[in-house]
Amino acid sequence: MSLFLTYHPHWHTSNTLFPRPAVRPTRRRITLLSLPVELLSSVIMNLTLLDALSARMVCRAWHAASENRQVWRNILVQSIGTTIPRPFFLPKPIKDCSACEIEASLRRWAAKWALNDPIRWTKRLVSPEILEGRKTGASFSLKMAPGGRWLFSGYDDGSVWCFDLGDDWRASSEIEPHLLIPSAFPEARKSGTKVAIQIGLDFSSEEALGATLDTHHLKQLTIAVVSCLKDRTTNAQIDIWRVILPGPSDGGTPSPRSPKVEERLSTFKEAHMSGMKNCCLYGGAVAYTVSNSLGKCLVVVDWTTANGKTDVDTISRHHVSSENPWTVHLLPGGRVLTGDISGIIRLFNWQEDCPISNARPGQIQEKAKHIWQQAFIELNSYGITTPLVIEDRIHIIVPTETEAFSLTIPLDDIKPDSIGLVSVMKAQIGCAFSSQKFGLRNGVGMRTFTTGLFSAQYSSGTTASGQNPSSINTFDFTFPTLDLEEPPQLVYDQYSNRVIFADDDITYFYSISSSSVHNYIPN
Amino acid sequence: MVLLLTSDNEMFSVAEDVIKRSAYIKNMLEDVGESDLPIPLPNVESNVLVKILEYCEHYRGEPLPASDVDPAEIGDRSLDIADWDQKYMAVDQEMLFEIILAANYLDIKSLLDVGCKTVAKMMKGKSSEEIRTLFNIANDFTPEEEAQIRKENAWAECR
Repeated sequence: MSLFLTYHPHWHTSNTLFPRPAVRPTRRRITLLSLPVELLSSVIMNLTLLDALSARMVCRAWHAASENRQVWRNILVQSIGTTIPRPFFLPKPIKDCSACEIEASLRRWAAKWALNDPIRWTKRLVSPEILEGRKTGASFSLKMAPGGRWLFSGYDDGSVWCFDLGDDWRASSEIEPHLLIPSAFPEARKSGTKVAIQIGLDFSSEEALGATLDTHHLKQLTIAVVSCLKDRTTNAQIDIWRVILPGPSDGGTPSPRSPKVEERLSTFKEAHMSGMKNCCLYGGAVAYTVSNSLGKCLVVVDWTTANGKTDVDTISRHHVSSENPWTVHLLPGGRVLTGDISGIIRLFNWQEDCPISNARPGQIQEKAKHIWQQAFIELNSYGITTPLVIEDRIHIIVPTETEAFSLTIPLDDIKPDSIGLVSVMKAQIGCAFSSQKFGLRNGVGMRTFTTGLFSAQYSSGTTASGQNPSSINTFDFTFPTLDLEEPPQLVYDQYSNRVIFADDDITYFYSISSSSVHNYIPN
Repeated sequence: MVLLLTSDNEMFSVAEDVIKRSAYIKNMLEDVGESDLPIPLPNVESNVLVKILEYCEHYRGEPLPASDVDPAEIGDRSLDIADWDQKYMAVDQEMLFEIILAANYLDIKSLLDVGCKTVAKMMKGKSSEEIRTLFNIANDFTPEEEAQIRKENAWAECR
């Protein structure tokens, strides 16, 4: 029988007016598993990482539906900026990543993470022939780019070198160093005068990242090099460079075989300094802590306007603080976070609240007005993490010898009471501050200056339950190399969970393996 | 008006601008042109089609999504569902899956998306066992397979 109906929007509510067949034909029972696998995939791609993992354990159909590149691509894109930081970094551009590779990157970020017990490590030597002449050179400010592949270090002849650790954490091959930026003081090596050097990497700002923001693969970054001859008279040199990293070509500029500086974005002179503790680069600003005859101070300079200036008395500087600054982190929104020697962390709006003048670093005695400050007992100023943006807040971990705190700062609200500070872990971490590194969820490092390791996990204070479970694992460990004069340098990358130790002049690296790296290797 | 014939042999006469939200029918009308013959929908029952038409009627006049954009490629995959869509989707599970299947068959992307999000929302925060109970799904993994997947997932804070 065929029935002829004219559809009316309210038909179904008034369908008593229309006779319908009383008995429906026998029909199949529709369940969730009646949906074809591609529709199950469409459901899963709306889930978060942990919900997707639950879904995959339900049954074979769901498991099959989860093995789809589009699913993981969407989970990743949806997570960036909401549960994981923006920008986020993948081992290759997202369009070239398989489902497995995207999943692995998400997993590494979210993993419950610990060093393997007992500690397992791979030693990698740095090619000695290239190191020739570096033998006397100590490395300063060893820094790792997100993703765990690229290491950068300044040397005491003023040069900056880059090390390619590759993507395979199991590799034991020699590492070839690349000279990235020659010394600004080429005469230093001949005369035997040492160069004080600090480098700062910017892999967060839009200016630095370019297309990386769309591909989620680190293709370029900017680097600041602050260097000064230790002869107590020569002016310091500050250069900002754009660095292009090797990797799959995006069809535009051909990819270099090794990292190379593409362009010097800015170069200017700074008054002589006897030392510098730290340097930070973010967007168009460079900040550095300076020791000179006037004391210790921190200045922020807009390097676009300073470009080309050779007269140090014509540089416009924002004078942030005349107290004892140690570490510095530039934040989005014209703000800067400083940690000082006495354990006080301060937040400034350097653009608006810090006196700007051509005065040399240390000449301004007036104290800048801070937005917020907090004193910490046994603050590990070295361990303050690189600021990460999730949702509309900047997330920073502040470690001390016995506790770790999560500091969150709204992206566009500068009221002090909108700044959050919560304890995320209470544990005797140890006092080897310079050999400890932290991320948003994990920390790792030496417990004393020569022996003992720890790895720690915590939640960064954003859990729905309001609870912050944390744990710390400690390991007996003595470095197999006994000729360490200084505590080993440690770098940790929270995107890959790579942990690398190096000696003070970088003749070798120790790659320490951890559970999340071991347990999940994309095939 | 367009004539539609459902799997249970009911005939519907629907305004063209309402049913054009279905890319399947829109393309068919463009290919075939005006016709007095009904379009057979052998995969859609009348009670489901009524529900589908309710959706199309509600969004009548709203611009159709560009056909060359795959909604899966758009960044916004949040689980936010419009109020009207939520009320519309407040149906029993069987009807929900019927709507999803019909939206897929008729190629109504926005409805398919809302349907998938609705199911995803039901799964949010649930363990795999809770999901099985919710949707009455049997665990068909062998013990070995299950152990393997558990091992793969062991790193995470699994529920």
